[in-house]
Amino acid sequence: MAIKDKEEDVKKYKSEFKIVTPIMIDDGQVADAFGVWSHPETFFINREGKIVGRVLKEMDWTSKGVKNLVQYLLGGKK
Amino acid sequence: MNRVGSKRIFCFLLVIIIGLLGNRCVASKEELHAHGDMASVKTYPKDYVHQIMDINLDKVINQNRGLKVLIENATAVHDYYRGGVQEKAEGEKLLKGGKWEEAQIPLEKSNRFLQVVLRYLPEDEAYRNIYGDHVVIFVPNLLIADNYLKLTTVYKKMGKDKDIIEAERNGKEYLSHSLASVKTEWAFQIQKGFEEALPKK
Repeated sequence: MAIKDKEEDVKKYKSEFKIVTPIMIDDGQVADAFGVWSHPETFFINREGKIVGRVLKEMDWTSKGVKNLVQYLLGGKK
Repeated sequence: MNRVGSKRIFCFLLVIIIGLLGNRCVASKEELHAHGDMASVKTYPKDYVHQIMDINLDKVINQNRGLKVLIENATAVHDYYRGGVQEKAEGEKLLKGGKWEEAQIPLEKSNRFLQVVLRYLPEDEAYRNIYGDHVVIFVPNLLIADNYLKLTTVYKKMGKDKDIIEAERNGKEYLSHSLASVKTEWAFQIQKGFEEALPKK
C-alpha cells in the first residue's frame, strides 16, 4: 500500500520492479487507522482479520528469517 | 520456499506493506528533498506559544483514532502514545457523562501508556514529523499533566484526599517538563486549572 503516492509513480514502480501483486494508494486514512508512524511497516493479517504480526523495518522477503517468521505466525505448521 | 508452501501461506495470511514508494525506489533522495518532504514542517522560536486552536485535545484525539491499541499488543513507542491518547479519550467521554469513578480507570491507564513513551521520547513537540510530510502533535507530558488535573477532580468527588495531593504534585511536574520543551496555550490553561482547583492554604 502506497501512502500519498501518485498513480503514475506507482505504475512505474510496479513495472520497474516487476511486481504482480496489487498496490493500493492510500490518502493517509489507512495508515492512520493502522497507527503507522514510520515506513515501511508490514502487517500480517490472518483469515479472521486479526493482526498477528508486524514488522517495523525493511526486510528481505526471500530470507530464511521471513520464512521462519511466517511459519511461526501460522502456528508452527510447516 | 516451495510453491505449495507459498500457496498455503497466502491462504492463511494477508500481508500489507505500508510505505512511501517515493522514499524507497521511485525518486532519488535529491528529488525527495526538492519535493520538500520536510519543508512543510514549520519551525517555531523556542518561546513561541502555540495557540489552543492549533494544539488542543480534540486534535490529538483525532490524530490517534483507529484500531484500539491494547497494552499486550503495543510494541513501538508510537503504539504507547496512541494507546495513551485513546484511553484518555475514553476517560474524557466518561467525565463528560459525570461518570467519575469509571473515568478514573482509563485516565490512569492513559498515564501508564504515556509514561512508557517518555522513557524513549522525553520531550513534547508541537509538531513531530513521522513520515514524509505527515506531522502529529506529540505532547505526552502535557497529556499526563491534563490527566492528573482531571484526576484531582475525580479523587475529590470520590473523597480520596491523599490521591489529590499526589496527582497535583505529579501533574505540575509533568506540566513543567512540557513547558520546558514547548509552550502551548493549552499548557497554560492546565496550569490555571491546577491553581483554581487547588487553592493555596
